Amino acid sequence: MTIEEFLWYYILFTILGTAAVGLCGMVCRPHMIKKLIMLTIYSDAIEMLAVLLGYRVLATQPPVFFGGILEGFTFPTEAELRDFASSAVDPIPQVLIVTAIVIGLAVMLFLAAISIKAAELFGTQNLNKLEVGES
Amino acid sequence: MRNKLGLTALITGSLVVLMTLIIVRSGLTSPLVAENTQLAIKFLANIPNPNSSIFSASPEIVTSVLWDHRGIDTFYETTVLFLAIVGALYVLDGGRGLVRAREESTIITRVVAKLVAPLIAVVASSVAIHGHLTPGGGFQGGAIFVVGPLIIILAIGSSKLAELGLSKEGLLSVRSLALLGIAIVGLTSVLAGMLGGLTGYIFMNLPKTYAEAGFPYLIHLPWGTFLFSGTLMFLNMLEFVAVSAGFTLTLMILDSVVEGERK
Repeated sequence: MTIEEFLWYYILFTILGTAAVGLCGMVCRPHMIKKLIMLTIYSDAIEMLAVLLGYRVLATQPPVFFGGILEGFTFPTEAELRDFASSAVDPIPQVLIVTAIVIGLAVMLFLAAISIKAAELFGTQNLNKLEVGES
Repeated sequence: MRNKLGLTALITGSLVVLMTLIIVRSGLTSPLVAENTQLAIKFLANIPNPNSSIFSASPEIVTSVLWDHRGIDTFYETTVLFLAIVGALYVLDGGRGLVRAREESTIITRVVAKLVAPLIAVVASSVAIHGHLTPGGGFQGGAIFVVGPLIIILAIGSSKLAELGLSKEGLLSVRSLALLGIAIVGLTSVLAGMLGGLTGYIFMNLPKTYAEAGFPYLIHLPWGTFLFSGTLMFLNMLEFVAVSAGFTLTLMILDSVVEGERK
């Protein structure tokens, strides 16, 4: 096993292990805020995995063509484009996680609202101690 | 309880090892695979190419794919965000509120928050406005912008935001108007095509050979020629307004509930 292969396995194993810790915490912890924290760790690890899947050994630049210019835009030639396509990272995982991050933030705000409501109604955020009251 | 934790740890641990092996062996990412996938090469080589059929007139591939090639999908993700915020407001409405013992923050915190918040707003607008040229865009700029109101709420309190003219009703209407604006920009090609007798599609960016009703991508002004990439710049700015207004609104409501102002 070469050093590159070892590093590859090591990075993948670390990211997936972080996701697994988040999943374990979400299942086993009874407190709502701890579940929220673990959900954040889990989703961040999965987004990190998606970005890693777009990386290749020869990729040296982001999927942006030579930075941007607002004025005097010139179009690239065919050779430049071929070079760009072989040396940039995969844009598709990045496209997918851009919206996933913002929607994750919205979902987290919604869950925080629910947990605040639970604290207001029941006086606790521990799921094992919640009781359905007579209404 | 301990058995449950042990069992979950065992299952997820073995899943981790299995997933690592599957991902590397199947070539999804591995040191032996050096080439991008065919789909990535197609996007990377054709989006900045003016002779291609999926030309977007933008050097930023991520924004082009996000708002041009999967524009309808992004529009529905924006509505998901809108519904999550509406749901949070609905859940929080009309409670008696929690009372938190509030400690006055020190003068250092307050002054630094006042200094940093405008800077964050400027950085966020810059990221959003040229999101079609440099890394960034509406979603990213909006997510950066929310940090400004957040540190103001934590350091000074939401009364400061009310002084700045941010009311809950105003933010909700701004957010809805921005979503409506995105829908209007998406429908412009169809309407222009109907009125002018041309072919146009929903969320179409530049004119194609088979559909002529598209947006231009260059504008000639007296002091130069500017690239705004068709719909990309408008959609980025509208999305920036929508995301930042929506999240600022939710933070204000959360803060007012925790402060117990709703009693």
